[in-house]
Amino acid sequence: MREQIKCYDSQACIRCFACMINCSVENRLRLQREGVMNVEKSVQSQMPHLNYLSPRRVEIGVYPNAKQVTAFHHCNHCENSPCQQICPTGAISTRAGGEVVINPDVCIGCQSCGDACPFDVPKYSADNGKAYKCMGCYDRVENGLKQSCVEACPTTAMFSGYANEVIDEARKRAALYTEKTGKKYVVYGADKLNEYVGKLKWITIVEEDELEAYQLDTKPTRTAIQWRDYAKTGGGVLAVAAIVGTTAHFIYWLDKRKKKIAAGEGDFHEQH
Amino acid sequence: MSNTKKVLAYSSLEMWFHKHMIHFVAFLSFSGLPILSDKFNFIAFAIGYPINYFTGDMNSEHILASGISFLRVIHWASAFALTGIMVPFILSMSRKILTLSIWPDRWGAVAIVDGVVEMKKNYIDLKHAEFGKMNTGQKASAWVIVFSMVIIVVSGYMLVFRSALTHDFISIARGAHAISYVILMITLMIHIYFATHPANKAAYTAMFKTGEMDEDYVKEHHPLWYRKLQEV
Repeated sequence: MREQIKCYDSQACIRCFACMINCSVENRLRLQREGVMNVEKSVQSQMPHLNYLSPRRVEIGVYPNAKQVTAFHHCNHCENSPCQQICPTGAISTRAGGEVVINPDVCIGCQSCGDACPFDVPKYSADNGKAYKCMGCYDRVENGLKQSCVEACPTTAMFSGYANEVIDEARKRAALYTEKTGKKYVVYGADKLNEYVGKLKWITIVEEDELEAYQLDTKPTRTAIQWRDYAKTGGGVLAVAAIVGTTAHFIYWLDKRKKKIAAGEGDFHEQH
Repeated sequence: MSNTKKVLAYSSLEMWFHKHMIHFVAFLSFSGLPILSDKFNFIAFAIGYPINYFTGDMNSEHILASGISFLRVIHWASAFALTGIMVPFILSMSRKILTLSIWPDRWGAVAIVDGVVEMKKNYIDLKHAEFGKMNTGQKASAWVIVFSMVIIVVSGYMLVFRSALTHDFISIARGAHAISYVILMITLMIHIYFATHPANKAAYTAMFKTGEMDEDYVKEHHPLWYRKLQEV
């Protein structure tokens, strides 16, 4: 199966939130189908196991030029998926289609994934002690369907497909918006952002000046988690060095002590 | 004729704390390593296999998850127990904080170089060195152990009571917990080597059995400490 990616076009989006609703509906159906959880009827809490797309509205600029921006907060399905790398139980995997998925049967709710995610995405559900995030509708995609958010979008602001095709289309749109508006549009996540996340499999067409407003970090990282990884590697090297060093010292000490005793100098370490 | 007079090296509280700290640090390491790195997953599998044998779920992913869940409970229980035994130890030590042997006898770069030269004399040349109760290496490792333990305990509690903190803080705590542990483990490996070394049998016996050392041994091997004892 070839890798598939999604794209969100902030310019074409009419903020109807159909994507969010369809995502939530799909997740309710999944839970009902699998009978793993009581499906709540209210919308009084965030319910991370049901809503993988959440709006974050911010106001940018100064009146009378102020405007509201609704950023969509969701999993970006990173190429290097730090959440997958830190997960101690191997509950997070990357599917053949590129979706980074949490297996709730294996998740123990340690929340390591949330600590490693630079986008603050995986959310812990106190209802059943597991972490949840967008699974890229891998179950639909692997059965020839589009992701539920993409299917719901009435303006093709959300579209998906094979990586090269989606990126080509996104770049074309960004170039068109740049030409028409005179403001520079970029395709966030199409190119490698850094070593920590790599490329993204959920890319975004956005005005460059509004990257921050859309909460799209150009250098997404968790420095402490990176240091943790360095410590793991360094710790292995240092542990081997400590074992080799102490063993070498012990052999040296035995030999030296033997020679000293043979020379009649006695065992100077002996307690009287 | 040898002098059989004894010198108190470790109090009963120090011996008690040290022994139990070994147990709990062993439990914490054993239970924490599979969470830190997948290279230690064999520990989780060894724990998870018998659990899942009884539940009948022999899927390897589920065995690993069971093992890590169980180890997490052991990790937390050991951590609470360790901090519990730390309380009387810290209270006791804080009463005599200024007289503890972990403080340098002299300060400055020259003192450190002199300390390293004395260690070489003892461990490389096998000659009597001018040691206090603890040598420069022991003092340095004691400080590393103290600081790394403090960071591990504080960051560990931050991870346990994470709901009160932001992801940024928790992320820092998780990083600090692992980095401090790695530093602690390397220091402890060297500490265990020297502690169990036949050359340090007297100190080993004092720490784990009698709490005392022969005065003659102290006079020969820890002359600075001996002189301090004479002054007292």
